[in-house]
Amino acid sequence: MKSSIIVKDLHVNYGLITAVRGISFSFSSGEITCLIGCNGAGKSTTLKALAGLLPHSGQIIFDSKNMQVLSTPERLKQGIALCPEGRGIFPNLTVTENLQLGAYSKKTKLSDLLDRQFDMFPRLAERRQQQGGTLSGGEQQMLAIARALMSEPKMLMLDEPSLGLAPIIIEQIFQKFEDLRKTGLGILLIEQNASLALEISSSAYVLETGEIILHGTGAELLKDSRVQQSYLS
Amino acid sequence: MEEFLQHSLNGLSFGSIYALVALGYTMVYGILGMINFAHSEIYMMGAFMCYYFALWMGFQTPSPINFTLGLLFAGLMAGAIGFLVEKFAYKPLRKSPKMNSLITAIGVSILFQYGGQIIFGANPKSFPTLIEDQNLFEIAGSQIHLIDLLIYGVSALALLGLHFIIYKTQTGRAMRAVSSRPDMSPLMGIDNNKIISMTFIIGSVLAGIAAVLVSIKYPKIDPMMGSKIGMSAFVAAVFGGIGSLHGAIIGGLMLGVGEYYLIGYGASTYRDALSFTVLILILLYKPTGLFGSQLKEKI
Repeated sequence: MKSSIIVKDLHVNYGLITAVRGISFSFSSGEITCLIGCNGAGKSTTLKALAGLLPHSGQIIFDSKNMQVLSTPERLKQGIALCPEGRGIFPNLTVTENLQLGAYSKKTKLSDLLDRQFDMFPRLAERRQQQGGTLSGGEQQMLAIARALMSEPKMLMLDEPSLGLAPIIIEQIFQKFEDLRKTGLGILLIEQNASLALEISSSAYVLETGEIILHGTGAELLKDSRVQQSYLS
Repeated sequence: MEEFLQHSLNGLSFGSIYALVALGYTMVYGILGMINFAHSEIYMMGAFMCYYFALWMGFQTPSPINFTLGLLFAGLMAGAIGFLVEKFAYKPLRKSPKMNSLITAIGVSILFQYGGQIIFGANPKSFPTLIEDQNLFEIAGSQIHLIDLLIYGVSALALLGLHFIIYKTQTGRAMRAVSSRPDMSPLMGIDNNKIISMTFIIGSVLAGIAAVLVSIKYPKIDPMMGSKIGMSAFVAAVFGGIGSLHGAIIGGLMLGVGEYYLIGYGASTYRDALSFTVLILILLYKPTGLFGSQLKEKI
């Protein structure tokens, strides 16, 4: 069964400043959807609102259930996980402990979930007893993704996963996204690295000053002259 | 030499108590960045709860069962009081400047001290003998009392229990997560408020247990009894590095031993001066304490 999240007329304000002005979009399981845009376009704000970290108005409907009234932990239980900008790992906890916390709301056995992530990210398995803060940037990003996956989400939102990473690491991580998509996970990806994001996305939106100005498949937007001019040059 | 050993043992016994109480200060500071000045009054309430419990239960003769029940009851009640204080006094101020919580904490402390004088009476009460103290044996001329052994034993058990919770359970991991990245912990499904409540409860249980142990050794309790030990335990927490669990334990033990050397070697008048001197020196020369990691804004 295919799940999807439909966002309707989402508004987010920081005090008097409006960061997101009534955007509507949707994303589904088994697909990669991306939001591209410049700094300050409202991409991270949108994800934080979807995760319930920021007060917002408008509707967020996940398989005909309204998410808007739910808190962040409740949204996670419904299956919406956010891998935040800047990775947000707990620096003084070990890799294993960081992962265990990812499954905080899970009642099932942690060791199976842990093994699955260690299989997927062997680098993390090598460093399982190391403190999170001592990992390299790429390893921290892998840890953040693996930690988000520990909650076995249906929908994973990724905020700038390529930020500050070497191209070869970015390629590895994007390959993982493709693998995860094939398992049926829905991915909402935010990227400044627009060409990379558009290549793997089946659906894409362009955000500018808090509004969606373009929507299409990843391939369509790659060829779009406005996108090429603003984001790909 | 015999004297030295005796003073050290006495000091360790009192130091364990400081450590138990200091943990409450350091845990709350670690998670909220505030000093809970009402913590010493939760300690006092632990002693009074045990006192009334023994009265209601009609404990006549000392026995290990009475001791255990009293200890558990005091721990539970102290935990409940700590939970309520956090819920009604500090939680509404979570988003206000820290100074507001600090002033509130002092207010709660005064409320308990003087409210206690109204309800329990200002005169010291003599604490029931829950367990008969006795000289168990001698080591190199130093006498080992049962109550001191109980203090070592119960403190060690409590510390092991705490260590287990903090490092081996999801709740403990969540406590450390909220303490380091409270903005990220909700993304793990952690309800920060629940974890903060849990921190207050655990710290308060330790204080309640400490209060009963002390009251058995020095069986006079009164509503102002928390302030002295609270001050010393707070200094122990700062000395060890506030926010650091191991720091609080080592700070507590060192301060307890130090105080007993002063008493033992004829400077007992200066006993209380020691904690203040340590506090001033630490704040002047090493504000992060022995094990403190980074310097946060201290209030």
